[in-house]
Amino acid sequence: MDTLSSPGKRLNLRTLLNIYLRSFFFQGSFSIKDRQNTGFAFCMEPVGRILWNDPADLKAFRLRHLEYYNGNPFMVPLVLGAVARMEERLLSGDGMKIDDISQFKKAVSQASGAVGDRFFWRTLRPFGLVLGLLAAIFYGLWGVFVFLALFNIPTMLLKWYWLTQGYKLGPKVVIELQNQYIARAAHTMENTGGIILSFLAVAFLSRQEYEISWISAGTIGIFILTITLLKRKISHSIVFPIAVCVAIIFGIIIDMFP
Amino acid sequence: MNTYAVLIFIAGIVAMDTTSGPQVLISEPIVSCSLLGFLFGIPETGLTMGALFQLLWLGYMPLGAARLTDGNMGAYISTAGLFTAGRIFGLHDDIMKAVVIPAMLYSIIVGYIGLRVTQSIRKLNGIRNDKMRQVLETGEEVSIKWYHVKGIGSSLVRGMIMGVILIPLGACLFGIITVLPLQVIHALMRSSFLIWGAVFASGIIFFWNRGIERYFLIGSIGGILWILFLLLGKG
Repeated sequence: MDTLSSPGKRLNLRTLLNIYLRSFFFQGSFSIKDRQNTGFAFCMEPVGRILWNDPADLKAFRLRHLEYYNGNPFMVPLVLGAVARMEERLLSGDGMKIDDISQFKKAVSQASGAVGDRFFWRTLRPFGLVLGLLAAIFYGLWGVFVFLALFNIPTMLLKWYWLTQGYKLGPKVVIELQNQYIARAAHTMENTGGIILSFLAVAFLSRQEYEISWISAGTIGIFILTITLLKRKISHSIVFPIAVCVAIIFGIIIDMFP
Repeated sequence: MNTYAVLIFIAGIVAMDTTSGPQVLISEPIVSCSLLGFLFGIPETGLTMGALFQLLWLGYMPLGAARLTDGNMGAYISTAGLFTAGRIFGLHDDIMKAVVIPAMLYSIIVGYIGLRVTQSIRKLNGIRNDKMRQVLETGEEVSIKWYHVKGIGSSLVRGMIMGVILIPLGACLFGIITVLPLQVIHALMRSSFLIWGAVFASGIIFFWNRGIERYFLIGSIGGILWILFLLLGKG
């Protein structure tokens, strides 16, 4: 962390740690109009208090970070770190303009939103969940901890890494958005997640003491019906009640002809 | 009464973790329902309910301003109502199985209510946000932290209010099951297993949309081999 204490820089490790902790509540006051603008300003507050001592400057700092912002909450430390560095450069008159900060935020928020949503929400979370479910079959409640560890440990480490990289590289940190390791990890997790979930589906749906019974046949029938309807882009909220009705009718029929 | 207070508090935490922070996913059904199972002394049932809801809502993510049913709150409140009904009405295991289907339908309704309330809170956050900016522009001292904490607190309160109203309501609704004819209860019991077909399909479709069909084949073959292994083990 020698970059954090080298001459000419005003922010220290404590400030970055403060931003890091605040970033966990980045979405706290999400609004339909300006999305996470208050969250962004809230996370940048420690930077403003250190860099801008004049009340007018501090006011301008707060107002520019209350602009519209919409990005992924897990990737925001990358933007926060870079913007903190840009604010430092603005203060020291190192060729940085207020417009540059604004434009950087606009450009990176969308890109980080797309990359972060894909990696964290669409890949890491479901992968952690299916692995947690698999672990739950063998180790019961430990499966819950497997899921929490699988999601949170990489997320917390990456958030800190991105914050420090952002601070170190400034606007050049956009290269992190094209990180090949992340892309490869996401691809592997998607494929592995698919394998585990289909394994679980076959092993679980064919249960019933592994005998061919009407219950097993009915379960597989409802599985196929649900897949077919969902593939036609019909909403879960419509498909699921239909599946429930079919399941109840099937349950009544089985009960009538045991 | 103490358990009820804990249930309400956890409801607040679930709502907060889903939309505000710290977003460490303790609000996911597999975690919150397992915790409920632990609280009521039935950890395995809690885990099963968590798995059921988790697969159902696997594809639903709190992405930005996306208007999605609040599956986390739906799962938590519904399971809390189910376990409370189990304790109040002394429901035995078979009846509990029969209540699984009504509990899942109730979770969808709760999820919709959660969505509406979240939208209202986000509108309120916007109004508060505009007010803060206006005050800041006049040159007065403003605590952004305080405004932000109010937003986080709104989510906590949202969850707690939903818990106060919807957990007892769910418990009462699930208690009614006990007065249904025996034939209906039997049908519901059988359906509780059949519904796993629908929730697994919901999980599978989430991965299917990525174009990884051949990996499903590998997993399915693995599943079949696993069953054969168990059958051979049984002799």
